Amino acid sequence: MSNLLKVEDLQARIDTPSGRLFPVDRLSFSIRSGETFALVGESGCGKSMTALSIMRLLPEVAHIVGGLIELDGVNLLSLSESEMRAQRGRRVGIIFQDPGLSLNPVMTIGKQIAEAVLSASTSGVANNYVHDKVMSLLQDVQMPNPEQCVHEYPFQLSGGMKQRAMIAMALAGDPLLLIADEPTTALDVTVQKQILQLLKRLQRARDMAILLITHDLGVVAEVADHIAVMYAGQIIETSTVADFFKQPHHPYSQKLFKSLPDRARHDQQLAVIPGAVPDLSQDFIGCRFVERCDHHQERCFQQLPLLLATNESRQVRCHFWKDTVVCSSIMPCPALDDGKHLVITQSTENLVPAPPLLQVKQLKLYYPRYGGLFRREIGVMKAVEDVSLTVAQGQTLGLVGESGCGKSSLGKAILRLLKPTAGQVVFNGMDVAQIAASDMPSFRQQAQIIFQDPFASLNPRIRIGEILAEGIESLKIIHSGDLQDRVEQLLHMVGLEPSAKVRYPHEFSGGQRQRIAITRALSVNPSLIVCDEPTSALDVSVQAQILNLLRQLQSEKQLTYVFISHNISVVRYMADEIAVMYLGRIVERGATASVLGSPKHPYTQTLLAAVPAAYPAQQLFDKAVDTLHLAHSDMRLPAGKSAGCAFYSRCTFARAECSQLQPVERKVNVHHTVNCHLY
Amino acid sequence: MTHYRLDFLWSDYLVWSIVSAVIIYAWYVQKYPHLLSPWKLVVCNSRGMAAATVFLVFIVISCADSIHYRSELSVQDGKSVYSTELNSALDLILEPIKKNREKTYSAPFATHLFSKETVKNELGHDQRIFPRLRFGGTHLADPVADWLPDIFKKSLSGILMACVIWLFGFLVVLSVMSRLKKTPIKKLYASIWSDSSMSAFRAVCITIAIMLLIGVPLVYLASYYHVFGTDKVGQDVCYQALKSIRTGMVIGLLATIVTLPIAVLLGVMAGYLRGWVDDCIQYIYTTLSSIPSVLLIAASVLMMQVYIENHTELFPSAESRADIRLLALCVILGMTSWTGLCRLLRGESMRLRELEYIQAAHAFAVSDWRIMMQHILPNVMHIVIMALVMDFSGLVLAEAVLSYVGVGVDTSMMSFGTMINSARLEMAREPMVWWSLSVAFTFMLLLVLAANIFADAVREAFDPRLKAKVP
Amino acid sequence: MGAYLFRRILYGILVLVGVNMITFGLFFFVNSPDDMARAQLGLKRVTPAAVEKWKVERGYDKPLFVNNAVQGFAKVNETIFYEKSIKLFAFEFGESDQGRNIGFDIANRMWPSLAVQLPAFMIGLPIYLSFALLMAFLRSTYVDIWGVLLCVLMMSISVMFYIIAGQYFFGKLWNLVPISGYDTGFDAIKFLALPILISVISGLGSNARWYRTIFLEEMSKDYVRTARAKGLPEHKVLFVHVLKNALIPILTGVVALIPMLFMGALITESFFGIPGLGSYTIDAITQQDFAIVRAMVFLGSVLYIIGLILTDISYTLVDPRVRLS
Repeated sequence: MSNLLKVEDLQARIDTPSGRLFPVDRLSFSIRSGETFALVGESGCGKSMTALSIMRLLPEVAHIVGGLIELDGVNLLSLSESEMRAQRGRRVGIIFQDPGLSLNPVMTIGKQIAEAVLSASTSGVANNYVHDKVMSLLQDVQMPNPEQCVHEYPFQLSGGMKQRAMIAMALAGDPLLLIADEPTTALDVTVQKQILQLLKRLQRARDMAILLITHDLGVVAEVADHIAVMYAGQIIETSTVADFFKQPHHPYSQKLFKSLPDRARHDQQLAVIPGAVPDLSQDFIGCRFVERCDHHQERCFQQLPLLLATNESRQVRCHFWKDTVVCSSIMPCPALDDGKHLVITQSTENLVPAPPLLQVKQLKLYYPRYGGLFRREIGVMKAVEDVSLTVAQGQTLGLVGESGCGKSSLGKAILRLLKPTAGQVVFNGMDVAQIAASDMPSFRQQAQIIFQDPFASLNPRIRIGEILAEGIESLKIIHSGDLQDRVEQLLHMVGLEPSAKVRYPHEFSGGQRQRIAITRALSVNPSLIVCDEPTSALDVSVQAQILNLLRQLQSEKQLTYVFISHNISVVRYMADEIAVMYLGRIVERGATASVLGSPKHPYTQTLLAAVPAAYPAQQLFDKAVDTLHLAHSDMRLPAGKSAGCAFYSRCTFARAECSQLQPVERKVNVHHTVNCHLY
Repeated sequence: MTHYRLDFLWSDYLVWSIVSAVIIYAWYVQKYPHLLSPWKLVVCNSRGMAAATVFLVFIVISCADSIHYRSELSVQDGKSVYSTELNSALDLILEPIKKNREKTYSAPFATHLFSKETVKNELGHDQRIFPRLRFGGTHLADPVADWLPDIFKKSLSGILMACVIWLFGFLVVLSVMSRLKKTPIKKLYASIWSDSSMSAFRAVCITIAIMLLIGVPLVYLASYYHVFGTDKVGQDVCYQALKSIRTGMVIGLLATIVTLPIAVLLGVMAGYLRGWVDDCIQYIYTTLSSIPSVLLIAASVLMMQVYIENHTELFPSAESRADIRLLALCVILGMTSWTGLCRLLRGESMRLRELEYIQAAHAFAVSDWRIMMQHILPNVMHIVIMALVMDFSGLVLAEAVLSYVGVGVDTSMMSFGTMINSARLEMAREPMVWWSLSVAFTFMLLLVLAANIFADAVREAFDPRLKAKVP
Repeated sequence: MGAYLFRRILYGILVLVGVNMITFGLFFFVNSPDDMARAQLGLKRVTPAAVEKWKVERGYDKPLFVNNAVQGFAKVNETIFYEKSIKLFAFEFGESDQGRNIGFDIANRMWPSLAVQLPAFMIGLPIYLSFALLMAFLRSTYVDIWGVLLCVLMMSISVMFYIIAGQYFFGKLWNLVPISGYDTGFDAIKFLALPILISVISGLGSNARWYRTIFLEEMSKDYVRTARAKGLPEHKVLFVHVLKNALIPILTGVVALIPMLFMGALITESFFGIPGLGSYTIDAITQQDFAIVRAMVFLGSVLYIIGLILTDISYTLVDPRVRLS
């Protein structure tokens, strides 16, 4: 097969007030027609800039300053703007990360797709041709109910449907190459699975090449043929996907795998890549990864390694790749793994009934909805419905579910950051839902929270020292030493310099900020911490650092965690027990091994089946689950009254009683319960 | 040397407290890098800095006009008797042109009065002639022949003086800079005219040069002529224009500042506390903003006028009455303009209260008041700063309109509005008395344009939405 | 939708009650009617009898809230509060301090105001929009940079300068139009041409610059990139996608101004001698006619609230996100 897209020595430059930087620096790769080529890397490595460079749609601050982009024999960089316009849509299409922002909010889906059809067709075409083409495109992308969709506006569609419309638009001109820039990052995992399957099917049917930009190795394993790993604006390794997943050659790629919590055992530390991605505004002399590499030698500082071919289909940018390969394998193997073993005092296997620290009983949290003449309450949005949970001292409870399932609301209701509508939250013997104002400080001292977004969780106008002292001062916690010593001690505990206390949040990287947020929660010596998606805004390598830190602190301080996440691998690694939530209710809960090892509820099964595994030919979870019942419809909004099971409309095993009766909790074994009529 | 007694007006105190507040703010800002960084962008904006330079001249003039004093007339029984006339430092500087009153209108640089008068000639006959001015151009023996060469000569020497002053100042600054930066003068000099990072400095130098080239010849000529002419009662228009600057400045700054605390407090409270507090505050500002501002101002000023007229005993002098009226006008203008800022702050506080660091503070049982002061307020200050600079120009323009309508400043107080208002009446005169109007409009344009361009620079630096997106 | 509208109207009435309280407070609490009488009559003619006569003639002699001198409903009806404040809600403006019927004057003077304002509005809006679009289309070029500077310059010039300069050049120097005055019928055009032109020009700077900001903000959004990725030419991106989205805030903002057109432009009408509501207001202020000022405050608030409600309605009409949810 010939090369469809050839990129050679591509260089893009961004001019900022503080200087110039090169987000894409002498990049070369090629894509053959009909293949899926994945460009993988962490945030800021330049992968999206590469995609936009190919489209010649870079933002105004960025320019292409050198190189060659050849699409099917046409050098795109030599074209005039109007000639390039003829390429866009017709020969190369693109879909973006957030379909919610990428569609025009005030134009119907049908019109937007029709516009793409018109723009791609050479001369005047009949109206009914356009309409037929739009309908056939919508059918191609398996849009549910296409006749209705064409008249709808983007805000009326779910995220998955919007992304389907986006794909339909990109396919309107039958492009040779489709660029998918993080096409599933903003979507839930079950929807992601559908979209990935759709892309794969479309590619086969149309013999189209796909350039897939992603940060998720699992997505790569699922759909890609070829992979190129980017780091700091350069490609450091290219390979076929099969070979790459068998044995990555570059130390960075290897470390990426090891820092994934997917296969790591519950009692192991994750491998971490120390430090952060280098500042791109500097002049590099040696290898860009050298500061963070375990295998670096003198030469790595002096000389930039070239992209060396290791065999006819692989290249790696490392002086010593042969040495690194010998001593590391990606498959988890305790003997070879450099992860230190943690001493876990309690584990699920020998569960001595520890005293419950937190008990949630029939908790309900409704958000009122207002309407009518005088804005009275006309209904409720049931965010949390009849949830009961127990968390023992020193344990971690994992709360899993897709966006909008109420897991964050539940976490905040436990902490009384939101007032529950009904039910009890018993913490250490006191009912938090009915707590008196005078007892509030004492509860606040014992239960704390860590948030998702490390950029929104620290006030940018306050110094780190003041951020950390806030809780101590507000709750009047007395310490032996003075406040400043305590702050330094806290910083030391999470591996930050004492000098950090006089600096401001913006001076720290995402991972460091999350450490500070953890420190802030710890400043008042709590016994319970609700971790609300603490790593979902972070890159994989940084995620590993934070997970390790949380584990280490737990064992040191006997902390109890309620760990909220949509990422099942992370929860699996962190949690002793798991509760799966769907539309405000818990559908299944129990010991992690049992729930994830042999999921009972159809929803849990769907969820697990949808998780892309970073290991081809090997499922993440021991029991392969049939992917049949990946329902088309996305999650419904938890509104209105539903007499029966919430999952009824999506469940392939649904029976008559499911639509009528709310299933009650049934025991699967000692450590495992499920709310389903099937059992 | 005559004795004098400082006699500050209320607005003087306010002007000086604003000046000191700005100095304290600047000192505070330079300690904190995150507060300093947007200002650094302002300083690097060449257009903005050129405007700031012009604006600074206006500020200096109005500060000089805000030091009021009474001079001692005589001593009686060991007690000093002070003049009833309240003067400012600016009056002291402008003493010559203030005193040199003509009889009535005269055109700029004129040597003769604008209107004919009947005078007796040597023979004792009545004659209709344009009489010579009492002060303007009296040094000319033959006004017809000498007039143009004299002005030309004096302008030329003024320009020469300006060049000398500029060069001297430039060299002093250059040598100080080279000492500080430890770079040789030659290299520094070259970099000023070529380096893009020095463009703001370059713009300031050029602005100063232009101002000197226009200003110095005018100052030089002003001691021989009425450079901008005289008005109906023969007062120098240049003096009036310079005195008007303070009025415009005070209104532009004070009107926003006096109601700033209300706007900030209510805006933040409404956005953060929500519930009935929000409902009440929203109702208040919707009600206030529903009244067309000119009418609200007119109604308030009318009522204030009635109050002042009925309570003359409260105001000892005409100056203090005019001053109180000026302050009241500021408050009234502020009352009509705070609603916009309040609405902006409410929206921003509403956005901020959902942020995670506010929830983290809740998790520490931090009090609402402390959250508003510690977490919300510092994060909305950029909006306050933008509102301050952006409202300024609108308020200066509004003053002129209000004075025309008759609800502006006291008629005895010099302002652009009163200048335009009195000059407008002479529009129909043939030939037209154009200089008062033109001077008032030019000065107002300069002030407002400088303020607008500077406000743009501030907005560009502070508004997060205007910052270039870097993916 | 119906319920929503009804609620907005109720809220509007509530706001009007607040407005009336403010004006009532301003006019009858800060100063007593005696003070007003003294101020109106001038210091020389003030005698207690003259003040009393002035008050009786204008109905200010009654008590503020409760009239104990009469019986029944008149207790409340024959008070200043009822006569001067409550009656406004029925658009009974009463008589001016000069003794003219205010309602009649307003009804007559509304049309000249509209005759200036409406054409100025209709001509101005497309001009501002096209200028803003031109700047946004050629953003970061010299056209844009100088265009913005021109806008800043134009908005720094006092409206009075535009008027005086216009009168001088068009009226006096070139003798194209009369300097001021008004006529009915077709002859009005020659009197209206200059005020309309000046209204349009004086609004150009601030409006065009504001619209340009809205356009640019819209252009930085992701869906614009999608439109470009389809291969659409830049003018289509601008006119189809950006314009459609940007017009929502612009049009709804503009709709709020439409009722205010009735109020007229104060300065323009006064300078050009157009007998509209703007000059009516100015005359009332200079003559210290408190009754007219009160009436105009109320009328202005009513029109403002109508504007707010119209904004809400137009939002639901043009924005599908509001219309359909």
